[in-house]
Amino acid sequence: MGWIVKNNKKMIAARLLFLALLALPLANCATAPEGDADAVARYEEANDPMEPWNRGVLEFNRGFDDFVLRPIAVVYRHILPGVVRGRINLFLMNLRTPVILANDLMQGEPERAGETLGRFVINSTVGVGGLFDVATEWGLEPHNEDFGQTLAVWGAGEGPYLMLPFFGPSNPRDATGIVVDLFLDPLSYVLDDKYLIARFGTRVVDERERNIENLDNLDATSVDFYAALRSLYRQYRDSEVRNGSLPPPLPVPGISIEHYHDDDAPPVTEEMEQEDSVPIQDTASAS
Amino acid sequence: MLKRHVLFGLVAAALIVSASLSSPARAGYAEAEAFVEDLGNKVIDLLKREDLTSFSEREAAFRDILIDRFDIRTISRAVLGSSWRELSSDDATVYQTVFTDFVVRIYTVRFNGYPGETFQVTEVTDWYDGDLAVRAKFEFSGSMASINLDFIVREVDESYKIIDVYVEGTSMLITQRSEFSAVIDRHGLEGLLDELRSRVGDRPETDTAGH
Repeated sequence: MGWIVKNNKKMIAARLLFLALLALPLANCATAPEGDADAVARYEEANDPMEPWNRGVLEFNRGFDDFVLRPIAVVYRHILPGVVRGRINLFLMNLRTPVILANDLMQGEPERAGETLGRFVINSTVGVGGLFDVATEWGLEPHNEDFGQTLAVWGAGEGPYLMLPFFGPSNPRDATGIVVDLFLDPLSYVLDDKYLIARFGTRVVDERERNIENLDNLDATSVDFYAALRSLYRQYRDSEVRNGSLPPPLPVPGISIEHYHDDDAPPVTEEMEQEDSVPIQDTASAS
Repeated sequence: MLKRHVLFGLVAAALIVSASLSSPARAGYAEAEAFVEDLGNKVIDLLKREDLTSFSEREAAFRDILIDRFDIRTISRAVLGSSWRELSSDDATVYQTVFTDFVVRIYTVRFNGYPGETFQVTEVTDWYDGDLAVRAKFEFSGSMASINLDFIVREVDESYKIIDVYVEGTSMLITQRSEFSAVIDRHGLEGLLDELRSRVGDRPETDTAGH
């Protein structure tokens, strides 16, 4: 019985997320700019046709964060000493390893799967049920995998940028990943709902607590918080898919960092107006 | 027995040949590594200094490091993307001055309160068009997780300058660029300049981050 109820709840969660995704195309989309080539290039680079809707959702999320989530995270930090919060974080991380392992395997990464399995065995036993990260000390560094990354490895594109209510920055690929990871988690089949909810809640608060400074800083130092978050999310996910290696250094037009040393060179001339990118002024031609 | 020696000799020869083949590409690696290592240590020294009590003092110290080691002119141009061409010569000069103040300000705020402990270069690789990518790990005291950084280093006038920093795989230049282009789309280039001016106008009175 309990089994069926649990799965039903998961189904409901999955269906809700699916419906939310279906409803998105109905939301007012940003109209693609016409004519101005630079504006079109900026529009395409942002990969965000639903920007007005997404900005609205971010406003909602920030309201929720200001009044609910961040205050809880601040209280969490003040009532629990750092050592205890560290144990909680490691314990939660250990509980997530089966999902990481499943995704390592699906990505065809036996070596990383071995590391994940090794970490799980060591930390669950010597690490007292995951409270201590002995594996890292023994040379098995942690890494993160999820089904969104697995889809990327299988060749799926990210799709348009998506700001999900409560969940934050995402895209169709990663949102699908969230739902699939729910089903990949063996604990969700054996644990009672109340423990699953408690675990989820603690994970959210733990994550938010560890990012208090990061998000405060980003808010204080960005000229457009929404755009900064979008860029950081997309780049970070890209980096996770590549398992931390740098993106290929291809000179994307307009993104390449041209050589530029001549202090007195006027930046604008009539002829340059028509060109696609600013001409390179390197040392060789300047001297 | 003899076979084993021959095999060993072949492997050793292959290793020597491949090492000598790859060495010309490593020109400048050691210099770039030393340059980034020195920068990291300077930042850690700065974060550890206790005599710099006010924000303005820390900002001034930070400015020296940034201006000296970052190719801010190139960065200021790249983050503006194609809009750079819309600036007149005078506006470009004004913009670059404001941008420098802005960058110094935001990184002083971002580094404020970080208990920097160690900085170690782990790898140097070729980037694009002669630029090098220097990978480093920044570790903090206490329970804070370490940060992986990649510095894109360019040789400028027989010295080195940083043109971009990847923090955990996210380029600060690309992020700044997309922020700027979002502001330009919504408020125009003038709007961006106004925003930057207003950002460097008033100094934050207190520390925004603290551990």
